[in-house]
Amino acid sequence: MAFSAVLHPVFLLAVLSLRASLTEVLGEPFQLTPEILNVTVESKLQQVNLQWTVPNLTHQELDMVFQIEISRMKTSNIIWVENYSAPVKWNQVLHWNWKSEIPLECVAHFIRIRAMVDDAKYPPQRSWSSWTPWEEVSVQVSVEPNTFLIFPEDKLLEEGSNVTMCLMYGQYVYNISCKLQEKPIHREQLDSRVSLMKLNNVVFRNIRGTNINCQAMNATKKLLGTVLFVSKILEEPKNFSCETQDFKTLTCSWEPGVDTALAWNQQDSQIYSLYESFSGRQELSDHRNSHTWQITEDSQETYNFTLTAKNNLRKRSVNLIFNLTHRVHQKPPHDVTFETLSATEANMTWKVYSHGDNYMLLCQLELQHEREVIHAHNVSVHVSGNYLFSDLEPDTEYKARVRCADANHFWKWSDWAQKEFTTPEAAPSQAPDAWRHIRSENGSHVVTLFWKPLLKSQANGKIVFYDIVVENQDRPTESKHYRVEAPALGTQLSLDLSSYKIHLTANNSVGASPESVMVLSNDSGHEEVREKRIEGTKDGFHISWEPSSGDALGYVVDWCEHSRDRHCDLQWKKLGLNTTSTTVTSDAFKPGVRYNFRIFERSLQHDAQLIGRQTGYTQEQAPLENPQVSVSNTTSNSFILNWPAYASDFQSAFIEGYRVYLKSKDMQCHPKGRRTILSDKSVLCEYDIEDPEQKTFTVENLRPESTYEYLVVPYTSAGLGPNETFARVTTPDENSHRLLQIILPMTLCVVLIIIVCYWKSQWVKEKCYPDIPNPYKSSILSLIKSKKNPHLIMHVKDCIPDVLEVINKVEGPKTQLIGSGKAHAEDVPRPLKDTPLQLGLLTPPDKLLNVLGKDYMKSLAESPTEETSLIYVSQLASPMCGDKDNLATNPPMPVHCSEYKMQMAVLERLASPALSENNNPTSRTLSGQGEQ
Amino acid sequence: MIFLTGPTKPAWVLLCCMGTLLATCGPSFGASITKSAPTADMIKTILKYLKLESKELYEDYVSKNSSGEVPIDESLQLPCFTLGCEASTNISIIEAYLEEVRRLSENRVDTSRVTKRLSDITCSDVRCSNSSKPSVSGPDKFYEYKSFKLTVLKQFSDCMEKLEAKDRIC
Repeated sequence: MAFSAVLHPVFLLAVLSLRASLTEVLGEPFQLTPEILNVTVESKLQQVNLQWTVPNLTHQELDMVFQIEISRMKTSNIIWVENYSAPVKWNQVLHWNWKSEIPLECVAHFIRIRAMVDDAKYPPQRSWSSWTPWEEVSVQVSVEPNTFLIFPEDKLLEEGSNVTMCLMYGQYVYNISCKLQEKPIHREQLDSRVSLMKLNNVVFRNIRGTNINCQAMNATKKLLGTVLFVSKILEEPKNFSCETQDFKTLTCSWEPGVDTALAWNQQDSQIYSLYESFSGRQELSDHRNSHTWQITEDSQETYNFTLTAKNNLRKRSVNLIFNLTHRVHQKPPHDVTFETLSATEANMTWKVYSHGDNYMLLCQLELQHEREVIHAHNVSVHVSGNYLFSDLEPDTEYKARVRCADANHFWKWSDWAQKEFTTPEAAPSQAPDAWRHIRSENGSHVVTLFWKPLLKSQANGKIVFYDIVVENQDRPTESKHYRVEAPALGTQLSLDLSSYKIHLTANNSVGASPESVMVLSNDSGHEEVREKRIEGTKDGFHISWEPSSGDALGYVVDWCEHSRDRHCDLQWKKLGLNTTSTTVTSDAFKPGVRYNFRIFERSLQHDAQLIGRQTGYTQEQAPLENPQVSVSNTTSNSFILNWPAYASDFQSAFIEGYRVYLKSKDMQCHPKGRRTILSDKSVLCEYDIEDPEQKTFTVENLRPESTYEYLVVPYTSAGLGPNETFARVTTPDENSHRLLQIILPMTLCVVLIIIVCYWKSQWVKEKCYPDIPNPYKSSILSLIKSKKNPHLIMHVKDCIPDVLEVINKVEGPKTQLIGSGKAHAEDVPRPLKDTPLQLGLLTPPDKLLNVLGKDYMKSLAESPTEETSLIYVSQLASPMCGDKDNLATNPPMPVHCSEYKMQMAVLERLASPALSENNNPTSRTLSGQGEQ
Repeated sequence: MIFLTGPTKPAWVLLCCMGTLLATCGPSFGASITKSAPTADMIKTILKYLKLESKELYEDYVSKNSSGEVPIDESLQLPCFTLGCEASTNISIIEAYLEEVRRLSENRVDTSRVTKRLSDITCSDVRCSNSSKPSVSGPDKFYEYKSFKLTVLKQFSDCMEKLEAKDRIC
């Protein structure tokens, strides 16, 4: 029994071998059916892993082809067929996997396999074996009623790839909707409880993933979703290179590309690894862009590196093969030193890191001044090098640097090793560029010296002071020395009118510069030349002059940059003998500013002669202000406008003339003017004065007693002056001046007469109408006397009084009257006793009483207390001197008359009338003709 | 019976009073010995900072996750502050949630500062300190992480926003 048990397998093997041999020999199809060992699912990867074997394989190794079919949902729905070729050994377990587009949780898959021998050693036996039975591939997921699920969960995928998601929902759940960024996702129903959602070409949004939010009706959990972790595509490392500085380490570097890390622990940054094929070493890099590789002692010369970048989705590799000695990146040179041999020479030395006796380096030197390379040179170096820099500038800072590389196999320059040094000072090499301005003042020359600072290349050091030697050429023994400390660039000297020679030198700590010489002749500063106008541009002025005929050394053009609030800043330009024009440019030139240029000819004797003056503007501008206009000689029909001249240096352009505006309500313009009727119906006349030197304008043909408005505006090539308010002038009356001529003298005469009259009034009064005219003193009398005709004088004694007037005055009033003043006293008739002569001339008192009669005497008796006085009463009043009728009603008043009135004397007592109520003297007329 | 005379008598009276006081107030004193209770001003200040920092945490999280943000999980209800012994319990729960948020976010959402502040105002009364720290475990799917984190941060911020200034917690 035991024996048979041992023999049975041996027999079977023998039979099988025999069968196979027979099959081979007979050429029958040789079929080997595979046997599925295991089917597993990797849900996260949506991957199906198949393991199988070929049980009846008798050969040591046989090339076979396996056909694998995958169906979905049902076995008849084959979705994938793939042939897989592999050499198969006896008892070998074969592996194959397949990634499903649809999450495996959502739907069941089925898989089967068959085989075919495809080995050249055993032809022709190409016949498929029978299929293995279908194996179901599924992930058990139970969906409860009122719930739904979404797959895949937390899917990692690459940007630009496609993804299919599925929704599984239980009973009673409906109206499911999913959104990506608020955008609904289309669903495709797979069966009654599963639907698919496809997203193509997904984009990277952020490292936190893209959320898919779903919701459904009747679901216990209202919200559900998943996150798609979309990663950027891993890039291939760029510019991968390795080099060594010391043959001990290799430094490999590369550009890593985008970081594919996500904010999720399933996707970190890509990792980089280096694999060297000759040594078989592999190292993981600690950095994203570099790795230091230790060189081993076995003096490997050639290296073959593979750099691999890898993340969860893919890996990328680049390869580099090189000889170590060709990748030497030298360390920078060291011990760099300088030795300044003179102001213009310096010796540089340095050392390098050598790698053997036969190792030569090429070193590159650079000399820099103010960050500009002024010298470059290459030197071959073994261990140390040196180089002599010549033609250096004194007192100048330099930076020298050196770098080296392998002379035999140039790979890269080392980093620079650099050092700065400064050359010593030297005496200034150039005479200062000097010029002068001469001004005559109080019989002497005030000479202002200007000089320009020496260029750094000319100064050769720091200028400390300037020496000035003034040599009197008329008295050579008299020379003066001045020292001006730097950084002053000018000084002022007061010299007499002698001829002088001025020497100027610039001095630094080492020595003096060559001297700059200027000669001042006796007539310096007094040259008279005609000024010429030039037209500038915004770039400057082009100045030209006639060439010199004599032995000139050259020319100098100077100018003063005028400014209203600055003194003259003298600028000059020295030019050679053959130059007859130059362009003067300056950033200081401004539009509307006048610039005056003087051209001097320099002689060999360093004397300078003014040969021309030119003036102009870079750009002319309209005048900024109008002249102050005054009005003169105003008559009834004309007036004259006057204005002063401008200060020429402050004109904004050359004044070409003036425009006079006249405005009035009614005016006739001169034919030379332009007439404009304004909106207010006034007339505006414009007159152009084309001569800028004319500063007056006569306005004629005006109306008397009219108001005119005027404005005077200068104009230049750039335009008119500002439009300002008009001033007014009113013409006087036409006859007023004549009347004035008449009235004024007349008034003066009248006033004079009044003064004279007042002054001589007493005299006139006495002469013309005295209070008591004295016929003998009368001028008439004198006239008569002069005519020698005595009969013309009427004597009183020849007259018989016909009326007597008696004036009664009380004592009181008399006293008052006397006291009140002389004028009244004169009006009161004098007492009788005071006029004996007069009375004597009249009738004697006794006779007079008789004549008066009884009535009069009675009335006198009735007023015994009254003082009676006698007055003279006009007996023959002339009609010329008053109305006779008025005598009764009006008191007698003195009549100013030159004619004589017959008068008579009356006793004062008798003549006093009755006292009136107002105590005024009253009069009563006594008339022989009866009462009137 | 022992009769006490002289200065010993007041000393005994004082001792008895102290004993009574300690017996009555023992728990409080004991608590203040183990952990100094925050003053009213400190509580006000801490609550003011908590209000600001909880808002910052939430707004920072929202701004960084603005692209297709997940919704709030309304099934999750974070407790808010209440007075009394419940405060300690609630603070412990809030601390646990915040700690879980920090863990789930792999420290990208740093809740340690607010957790420390919550710890500072935790009720020091020993009678209330029996609440053990609860265990909170967040979801295991990333989508639900996000919702969980957002919900916890928002509810904590809302809670602090509504919270009136308090002089005491317990």
